[in-house]
Amino acid sequence: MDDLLKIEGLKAKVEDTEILNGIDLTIGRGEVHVIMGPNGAGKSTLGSCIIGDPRYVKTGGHITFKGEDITDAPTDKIAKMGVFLSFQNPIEVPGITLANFIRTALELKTGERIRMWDFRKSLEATMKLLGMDTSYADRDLNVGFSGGEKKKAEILQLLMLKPDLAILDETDSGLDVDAVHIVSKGVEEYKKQVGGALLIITHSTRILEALHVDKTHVLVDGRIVDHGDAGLVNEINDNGFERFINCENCKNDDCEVKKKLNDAK
Amino acid sequence: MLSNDHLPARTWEWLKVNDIDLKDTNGLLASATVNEHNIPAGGAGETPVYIDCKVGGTESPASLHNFNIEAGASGTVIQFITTDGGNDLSGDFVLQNRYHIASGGSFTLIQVQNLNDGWKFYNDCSGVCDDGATFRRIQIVLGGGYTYMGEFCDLTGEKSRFICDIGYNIGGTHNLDMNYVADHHGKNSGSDIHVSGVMSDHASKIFRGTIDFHRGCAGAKGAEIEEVLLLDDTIENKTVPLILCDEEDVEGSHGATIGRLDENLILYMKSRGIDEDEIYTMMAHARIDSVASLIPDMEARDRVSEMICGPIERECLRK
Repeated sequence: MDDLLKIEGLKAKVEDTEILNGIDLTIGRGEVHVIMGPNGAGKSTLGSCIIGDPRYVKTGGHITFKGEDITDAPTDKIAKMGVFLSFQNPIEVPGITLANFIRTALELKTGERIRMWDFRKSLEATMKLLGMDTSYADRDLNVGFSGGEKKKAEILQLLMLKPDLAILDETDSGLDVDAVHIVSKGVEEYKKQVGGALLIITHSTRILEALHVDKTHVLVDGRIVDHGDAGLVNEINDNGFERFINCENCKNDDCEVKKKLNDAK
Repeated sequence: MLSNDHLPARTWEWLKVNDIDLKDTNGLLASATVNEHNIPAGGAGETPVYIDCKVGGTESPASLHNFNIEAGASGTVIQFITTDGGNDLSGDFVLQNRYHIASGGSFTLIQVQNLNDGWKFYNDCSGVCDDGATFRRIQIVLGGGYTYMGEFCDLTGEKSRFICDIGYNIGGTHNLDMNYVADHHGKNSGSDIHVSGVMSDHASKIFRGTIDFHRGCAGAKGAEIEEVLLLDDTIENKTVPLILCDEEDVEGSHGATIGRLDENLILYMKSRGIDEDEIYTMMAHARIDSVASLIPDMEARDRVSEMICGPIERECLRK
């Protein structure tokens, strides 16, 4: 399978704090990857670095998307190339309606004017799929939305913008069971309609239930300390991250943290 | 005489924020004819009256209108002030509106200004609201060289109201000078002045908002709110709120939000493929849209929409 995203030796810091300490990750077209890890491990930072958040300074390594180096590319260019980041805390955009926001983003992505009638039809059909009241289309984006509606609005954008790679940063956090189900359904629909790749940052398995997970990665202290198939997700759910934090029990002999610990011994 | 520079205190001189000279307008006003408009008692002007001021063509350099709203009547007037002819035209134009709203009457004045940068525009408005009368003013400023605009609303009547919403988007070297006074005399009278604008390039703006509570206006409430989005470091922005109080039982407030777009908001929009220029354009238009959406007449709203959407014709859509 073609490499869609390739991350090699990525190091990043915010202000003076190193957060990513050499990440290697390759995602093929249409693959579903899951990133798990304890709080503060650098999971969200990884998503932010891929999308080009300028607040994170990349101090080493490269990110390639569709064969093009995007390590230092501006966020809007990366997004136009087909990367989508679903924010953990979606931002309120006063004055811009949800419909106008998505339509503008679509027009800029495709370079074509979109007929209002066609757009509206497609938007409302997608909103219904996500159980969203269509009146939200004419409300200012995320302004006064509940936590659940904000997350649904993120998935709505995902379905409308049809990116090649979607990074979901704890999209399921803070949602009740019904909302998680709807969001999961939206992600499943994205796979079905677009066939794009997914990088899912999560603490729970509920959002993964309807998906075939190709790879699971465990991120600890800014490094990927282990990886495996979907079974690793269940193992972490059962046993937590203890064995990855206490590296002695880690199965990954290539793990830099483990090597360092062994060297120290 | 215009009332753009009238204030019942010497505060501005001390602050040195009142350097405009309105003497030149006297000659222009003297030569203008006065248009009288009357809405009879009990009449409801459901259809708005359009007054198109096409500046620079055959239009007189001054336009004067007196509106008399009789008891219980209501009416809406929409004034579009645009340039008639080429962009190289320049000159002075004075628009003066006077109103008297009798008891229980209501009057809405909507003004949309889209002049080219060669024009010096004096936009003056003042009037009196009797008991229970309401004056509603909606103003949108999209273009011009020098714009001096103001309002002196005499809230004489009990429970009289002055509601004013202003939206502006100024760039280039546009100089916008605003002076708005809510003059509270009536008991339980109310005023709300809301100004929302965007400044770019070398534009300069001064907003003076005065709420004047006179003795006897017990129970009166006045509020003024200003929101300014600054897009460049080269702009000059001044805000002079003033609340004068000669009565104890009143509530007056002022709030201002002046700044740039939040970096989280910019990142969020960029993460959807929207570049920085487009983000600023969208946010600037959003400010005008929020005021335009208050216009009750759809035809007028469409005209405003056309005026503000023109510049956002995207490069990628021109093929």
